[in-house]
Amino acid sequence: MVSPLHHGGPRRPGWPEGAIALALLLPVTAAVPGLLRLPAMLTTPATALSSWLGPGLAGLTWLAAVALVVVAAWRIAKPPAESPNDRGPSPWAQLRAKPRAVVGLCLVTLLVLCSALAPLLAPFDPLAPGTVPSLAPPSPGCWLGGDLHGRDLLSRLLWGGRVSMGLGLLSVGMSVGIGCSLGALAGWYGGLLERLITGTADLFLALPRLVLALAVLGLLRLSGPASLMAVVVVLGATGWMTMARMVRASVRSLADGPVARSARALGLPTWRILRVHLLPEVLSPVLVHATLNLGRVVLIEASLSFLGLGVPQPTPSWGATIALGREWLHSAWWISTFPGLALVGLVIGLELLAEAASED
Amino acid sequence: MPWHHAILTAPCAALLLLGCTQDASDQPSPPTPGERVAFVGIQADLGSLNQHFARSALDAIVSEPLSLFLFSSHFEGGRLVYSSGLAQRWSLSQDGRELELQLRPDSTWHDGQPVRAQDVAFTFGLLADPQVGSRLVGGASQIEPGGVSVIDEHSLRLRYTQPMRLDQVQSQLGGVVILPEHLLAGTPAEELRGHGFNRAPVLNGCWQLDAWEPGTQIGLTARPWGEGPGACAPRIDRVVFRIIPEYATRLLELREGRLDIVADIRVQDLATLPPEQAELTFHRRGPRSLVYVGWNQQARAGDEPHPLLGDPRVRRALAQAVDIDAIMRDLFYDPATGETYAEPAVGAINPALAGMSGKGITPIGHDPASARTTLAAMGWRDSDGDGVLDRDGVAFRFELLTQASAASRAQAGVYVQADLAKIGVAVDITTVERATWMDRAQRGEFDALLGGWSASLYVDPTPIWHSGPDAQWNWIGYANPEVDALIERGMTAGTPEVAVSTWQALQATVYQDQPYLFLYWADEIVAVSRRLEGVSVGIEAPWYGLEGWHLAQDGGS
Repeated sequence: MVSPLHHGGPRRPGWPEGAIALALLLPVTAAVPGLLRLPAMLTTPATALSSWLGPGLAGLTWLAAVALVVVAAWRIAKPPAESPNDRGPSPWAQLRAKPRAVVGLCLVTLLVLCSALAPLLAPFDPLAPGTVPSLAPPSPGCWLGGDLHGRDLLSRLLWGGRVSMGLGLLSVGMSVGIGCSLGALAGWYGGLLERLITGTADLFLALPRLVLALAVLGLLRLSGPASLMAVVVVLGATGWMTMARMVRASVRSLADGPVARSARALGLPTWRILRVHLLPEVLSPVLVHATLNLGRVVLIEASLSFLGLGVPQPTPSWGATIALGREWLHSAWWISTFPGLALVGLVIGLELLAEAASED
Repeated sequence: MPWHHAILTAPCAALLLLGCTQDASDQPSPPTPGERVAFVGIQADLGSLNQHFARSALDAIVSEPLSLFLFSSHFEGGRLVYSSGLAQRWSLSQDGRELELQLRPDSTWHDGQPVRAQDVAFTFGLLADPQVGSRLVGGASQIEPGGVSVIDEHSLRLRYTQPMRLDQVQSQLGGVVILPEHLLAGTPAEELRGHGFNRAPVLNGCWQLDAWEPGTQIGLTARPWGEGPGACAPRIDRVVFRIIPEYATRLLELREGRLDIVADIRVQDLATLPPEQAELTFHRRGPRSLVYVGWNQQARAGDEPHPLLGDPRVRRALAQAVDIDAIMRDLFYDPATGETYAEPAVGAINPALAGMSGKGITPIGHDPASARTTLAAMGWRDSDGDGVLDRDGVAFRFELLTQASAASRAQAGVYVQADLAKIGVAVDITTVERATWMDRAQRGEFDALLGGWSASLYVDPTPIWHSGPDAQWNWIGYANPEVDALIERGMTAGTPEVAVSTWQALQATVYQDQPYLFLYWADEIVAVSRRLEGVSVGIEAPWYGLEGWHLAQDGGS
């Protein structure tokens, strides 16, 4: 029996979209059992791998994220063949045709890989003062120089990438979760619930996200690991609106389509119709948006840390390191410059990747 | 453009332009040809030019030239030496309870009115009024209620509640800014704090306010007056305080010659500002401030001792864990000269004062192994292997409160955090704005706070260490009856020698208790352009004696 559940309708998302979703969600799911210990993992590298859910899991998570992003990006470069016999151009050919995507891919891969392998690559403890001379300039023994406290900047840059990108991944994962759930409910049920959700989304959208985050974090006044989690929650809770609107619009248009009608006729429960049959249809644009959002979230985290409300001392993060080096720009330019370049590289890379993905 | 659009746009544009313009009286006039102007870089705008309501040390330093104080002072031989100011002559009665002051007859207010004894009496009346809330209230703290009597136009008498020494009354009265009765007499006491006078004061000093452009600059113009000794004859016409919050920008302006004086130069920048190249001279001023970590003695809720920091054995162990020499080496050592611009602290009394250097106190050395042993003996062990000590299921973790605006202190916090982590004590640094820091400190909402005290040249430990109601800065809840008794004895000592020995005993007792982790006394480096000569930099202020400033091109000393 041929069912509209398996034929017709918009193109079903392929494994690349699923891979990106996993890449975004893996750190979240991996973090769930030890969520409260995650800050310790991010902030105390010496004990992180041994204390958090067994050795290597944190690194494995990162490596998985790297692999999935890379493979997914590759797959984005290769659109699905029109027929079984048409294998289409090779991925390399597709990538060559999209040089901006190659640049983005290289940038993101390099930065994510370096951060993922920070425990192996970092030459010094990023938290310990006095490991290199205070304000040491870049040199063969200290590639990116040292900060005022004599901490190696290369080590802080590598570990800081874990913090900045880790926070970004967690926040975007949270935004995707909230946005998809609320958007699907609004689109499916309509009526008062839809007006309530879209109204709330509009209200949040009217407020500048950075100002909102500043206000909430300023009011919470948390310290230590709790403040790190607060940054994740605040960034995640303030980034779901656009996704909710996108999902609501798509689900609303699909709700009366043949797939939804057939599912209803078969007596499937609502949550199953939404989860199995409708949400996968809208995942592709959501993931493109999530990729774009990741860069923005990393930027906002950097801004919050720059303003002293983000990642607490002495946790290395790119934004906090840029802030630390601000007063030394005239004499120790390297403190702010390298994390600044890393931040710019990541954001540009993600933008290029998302742009290439949206072309498909 | 349609005509109705133009009708709407024109008034809006006019309003916008009006909004952008500023009252011309707020803007200092640009230097005219031949005018002698000195430029000083400051890091923040002022809260008030009236020292009674000063909100920061900077307020007091910038507004100081506007006033002629009762006594002028300079630091010499480890103590402040007082000489005549507005008070030309004075005499303290044999019993030390009555002071008679004779004022200069030629002193006038900036509006030309003469300064009279009634103005001084009016000022002391304001000091005694709690509704006024003057910051200088200490100047009248021991004067009897109604104890100020005017003898004639230029002389008056003060009666004290207890016998006083001359150096005590001079140090108390020396910092009191005298206010003009004829301008403020009708103002209700509770409105003085918000009075326009505080932004455009009419005082009696050698300098008067030219203009105050908020957030940009404050200009003072010279006001020569009098003849003979003590007369005021400035050699430059104007001093402009440029408000530049960014340290790097102040440094750049200094290098480019657009600033003549910048204080708080960091040691690390000395190498980037070679004197011969940048036409600068560097002055060391110290000790400038005490940097400390204050341990809250009490739990945040209730009057119980703090569960982690309430025990002096724990506090001594924490002191042993912190390598203060390493902090000073990284933050204050200049490899070019081999000088360290800080010294270890053992107390809160300025060590520059004679006999107050803390000799006789054996500093707690850096000994993390001993710290670990002490804590282990008290039952603190890392039972779950997470790197943090714990006891009865409670981790040894606490919050260290720091100020966002005090970057150099926050840097010390990073070292304290790292050193304590080595013995298994977790410190969460929370950085807040100054106002929040003060608020939380006053309400006791902290475990530990990283703070700093300006190096006062007048010894009165009451506000910090006394357990009574006058201890306005004893935020940590320190209470030791022995220390209270020493403070009372020191404050009523008949001779400076007795006072000194009492303060030494007090410092030793407090150090034994370790209510603070005394880190260091930091010096300040002040850069002065060679264009400007005669600038006095001393322990009292980063710059003073504006009357002696002159441009190098004018020559003379």
